[in-house]
Amino acid sequence: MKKTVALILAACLLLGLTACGGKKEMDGQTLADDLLANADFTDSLSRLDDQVVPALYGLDAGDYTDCVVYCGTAATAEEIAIFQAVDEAAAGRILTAAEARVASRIETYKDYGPAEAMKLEDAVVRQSGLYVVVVVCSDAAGAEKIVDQYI
Amino acid sequence: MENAGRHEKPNDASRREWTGGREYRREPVRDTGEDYWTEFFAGEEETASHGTASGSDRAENRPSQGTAPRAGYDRSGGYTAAPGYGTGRSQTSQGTAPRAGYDRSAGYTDAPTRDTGRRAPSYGPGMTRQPAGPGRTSATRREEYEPYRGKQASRPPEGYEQPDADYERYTGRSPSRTTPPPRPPRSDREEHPERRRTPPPRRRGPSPLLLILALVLVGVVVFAAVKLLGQREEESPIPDGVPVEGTAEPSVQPITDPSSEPSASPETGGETDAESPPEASETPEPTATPVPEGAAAQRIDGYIAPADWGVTVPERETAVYDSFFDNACMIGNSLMEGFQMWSGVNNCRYICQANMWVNKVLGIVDLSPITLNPDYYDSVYLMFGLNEVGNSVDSFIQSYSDVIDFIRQYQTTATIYVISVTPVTAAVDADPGEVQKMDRIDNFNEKLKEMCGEKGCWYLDLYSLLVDEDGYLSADYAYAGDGKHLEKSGYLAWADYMRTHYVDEALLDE
Repeated sequence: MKKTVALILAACLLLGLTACGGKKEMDGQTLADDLLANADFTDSLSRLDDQVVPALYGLDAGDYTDCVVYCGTAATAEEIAIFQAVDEAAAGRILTAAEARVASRIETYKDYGPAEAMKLEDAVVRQSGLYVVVVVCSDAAGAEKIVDQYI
Repeated sequence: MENAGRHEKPNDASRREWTGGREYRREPVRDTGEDYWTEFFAGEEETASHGTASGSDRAENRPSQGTAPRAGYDRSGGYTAAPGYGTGRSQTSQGTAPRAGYDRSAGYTDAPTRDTGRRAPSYGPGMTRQPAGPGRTSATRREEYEPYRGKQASRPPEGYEQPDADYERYTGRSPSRTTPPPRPPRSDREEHPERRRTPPPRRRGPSPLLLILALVLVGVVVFAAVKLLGQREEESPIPDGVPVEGTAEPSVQPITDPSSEPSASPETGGETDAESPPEASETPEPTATPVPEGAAAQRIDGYIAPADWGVTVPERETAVYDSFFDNACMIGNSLMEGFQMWSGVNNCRYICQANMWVNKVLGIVDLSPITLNPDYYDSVYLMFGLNEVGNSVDSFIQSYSDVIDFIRQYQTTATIYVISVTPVTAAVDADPGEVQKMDRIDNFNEKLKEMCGEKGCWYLDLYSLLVDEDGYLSADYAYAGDGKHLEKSGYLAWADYMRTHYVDEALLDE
């Protein structure tokens, strides 16, 4: 009996070790759902068509394999953008484009919507491995905690 | 004495072997009539002088008989033997022979035997022997047997462990008390060594190894299924309500009353757009609509401009596919940015951002798509006004005209559409802190129409689509957060409006 239990536990450990090593996998939709449910958003966000994302962010569609972008109704600057890049260099380019977009929107909303400008200044812009995450919401600290759980 | 009959009567050699080499002497016990106690100590002086109980010693130290112990039953040792075997040595005299009986220190005591001619069996109950150790004095013996005084001799003192009489008699030694009792078996295996090589009972059901392999296989299958599902979910679904290029079939709008606006006119000719879809199955009730006089459109310097029907873009019988917007450029404010995100029209060029004012377009906004691609675009859509409606309408119109002139320099053949200023909700209209008021919006739209007539541009009356029967932004399209921007439904309706309100060469023939 003891030998049987030991063998079963060893098999479970072996299966668990398959998740180790290499880069951490993350599901962008899961993170987005978590942010939508638990982060503080004033606008109603909807998932953006993937065809719109390259033009909106100024990206090359070949730089990422997957993207999950949620935007508001253009009345606010709130959004969620999660990219899975093809490689580290592409992730760097996506991060640069995301930061540039956030900076330009800060300039846009300075006198147009000061509250939106503050959200943009506290925006969570993070890169971890192949993943680039951008979150603009009312509670940046809460969003950052949620993002830290995934990357 | 009787032989108990339990053992055979051995000869001398076997008896010595049995007794461990010790010699036993038998002595006749005569009944002197004395009691046990007196009798017991009667010969102690004589006994003390005898030394060891070795049979060989005894032979040499054989005292005179004197007060010889009697044969008979001795309470300490049972029956005492009559003179037993001789050892082959002659016994001269016994003198004061030691008393036979039971000695606590040595067990049964054998007195020196005296050959009286009587023979008694060597073994049996009541056999006595000489004490093994040196004799004891009478004083010590009295002390030892003091507890017995007046008591039954056969009753041992408290705490005394009666030795096995037979064991001592027949083996010549006391059972060793140093030998520990046999250790109880620690386990069933030790107690039953015959079971050690017995195989374990056969288990019922599948073996554990098979269970482990089954678990691993299930884990692999689940992992593969999750991976496959994840790959399938990567395919982006088509957003609800957003028509896809080349596949949309918008419904045909009924022809409006031309008395209000020279907007709609039925087309009698063939399809101007080869990709125009067939008519929708649902057809409204036909009404006799008078055709406006004059031409709907005219060509001026290569681009199609409004003609006699006015500047408002007429509603067409057939809707166009999204491919119609392949060579379109959309320039505007946050509403145009929302249109870019949610309308589903993704194949055109967008130059838009929030807080874009018409007076900031020239010199601030990047218009390189316009300037670097001369005569590339077939149509250019412009949307400004909601941010400027609180300012001077004249400056607004002047800035707007400058932008049109600038675009016209690079896109000489493009059809320029000026989108009307959109309405706001009643709440925004009533809010004194808001600059967007419906009367100002109406004023701006009228000025825009005039500008379009002067500039040869077309006026896209989006206002009429979004306004409700009360003259405010419809709640179906309004973003409840501010009452100015649109919900996704508003942008989708806007896209549908554009698919049925367009300008092409077919208008020139009418």
